[in-house]
Amino acid sequence: MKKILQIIALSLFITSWGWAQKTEKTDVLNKMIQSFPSPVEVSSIIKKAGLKYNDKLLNPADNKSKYKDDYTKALNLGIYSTDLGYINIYQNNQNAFSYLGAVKTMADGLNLGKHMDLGAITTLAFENNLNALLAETSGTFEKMNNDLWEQKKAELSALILTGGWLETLYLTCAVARQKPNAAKQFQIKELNEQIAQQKIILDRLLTVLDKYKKGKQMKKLVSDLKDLRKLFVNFKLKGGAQVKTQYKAQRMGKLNILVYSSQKQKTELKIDPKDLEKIYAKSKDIREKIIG
Amino acid sequence: MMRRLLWGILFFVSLYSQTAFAQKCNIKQFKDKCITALQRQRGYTFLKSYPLDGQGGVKKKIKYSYILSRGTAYILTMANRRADAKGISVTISTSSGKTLLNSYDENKKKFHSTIGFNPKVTGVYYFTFEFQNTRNFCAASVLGFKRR
Repeated sequence: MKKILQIIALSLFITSWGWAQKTEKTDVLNKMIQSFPSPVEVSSIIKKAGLKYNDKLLNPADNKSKYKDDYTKALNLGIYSTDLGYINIYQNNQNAFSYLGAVKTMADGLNLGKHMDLGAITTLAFENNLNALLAETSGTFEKMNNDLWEQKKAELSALILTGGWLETLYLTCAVARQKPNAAKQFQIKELNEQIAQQKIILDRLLTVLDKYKKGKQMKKLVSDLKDLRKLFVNFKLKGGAQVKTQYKAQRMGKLNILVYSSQKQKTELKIDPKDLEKIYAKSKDIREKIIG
Repeated sequence: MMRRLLWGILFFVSLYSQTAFAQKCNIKQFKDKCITALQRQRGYTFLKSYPLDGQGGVKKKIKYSYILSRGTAYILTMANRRADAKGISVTISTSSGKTLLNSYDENKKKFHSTIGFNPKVTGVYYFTFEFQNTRNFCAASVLGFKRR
């Protein structure tokens, strides 16, 4: 009797400890994946910079039938989602439906289509309720992500994220180099900064991808992204060490607004358009391998 | 010895059941409240929602991270079953652990259900939500943004 009780107690301890360890590890990685900025943020910067909607930059929705394996489906699900975010920001309902179809095809191919409520998304699109539409689509992707984690297919989650991020980078570079004209590329400071800041996101993305670096395709992708990372090396994002930053909370109406103040004026990021052009070319190259 | 073992087993069983039978938290209604609050702040666009399920008090703090960009203004709205979101607060901190802002005003003992944040540096920031002096362990938060 005593021995049985000892075994029960020991097995309960081991199970709970193992479970806690595993949950904590997957939880950290899952939360890391969820910390990535939404592509909508960049699309909004593009729109605010006064740039016109350009559907030629997107991965054509008709390409959806080309993607056969889980690897390309997951990457293109990410790419199409970013494209859909861009379309949503410009509220171009006509294109939204064909891209919604492309997202659904990719999601169905990965057994994730059940999480998409097309009826609700369509209604919100017609109502022009942007925030509710973004909340619905964001919720859809969270459900897909959680489903993949439960199915122990977290590497597909990481690939969806990678596709989405790469498309964001490519779109930003593509529009930035077109403005104001081919002779004077990369003239919009906000977009240039946005591209340079992707360095931080790429570092985090590589941390996630390194955990799933199995198989030829995945290894090649990580290697390509590491080559891309090298092109960001000249961007110094944090400013000089002599800049002392202070944080101060202020009230604005009913809001608490945190204002940063520094002894010197805010630091300018040093960005060479030649580096941006190289980043554009490399992101285009990796993207072309994915979209086919 | 037998008694100790029995107490040990009882402890594990009660720990499991506390988690398993914790109150079901229906996040959706609070998420919708947050989106409504976000709509009231002009020009802000939805970015992300955060479920805050304290599992009936088992989890007092819930931590999320997000990469925020300089040049963008962010807003966090929080909602629970109370109109003023009393009992839920958020602390924003840097990746190095430096606390930047807390939505709970210690001096006035006041909970702010909406806070704004303008980062000067692009990077990873942490949002630590905390249930304070409450028995209401179910809430939601929404992050919104606008370009400055």
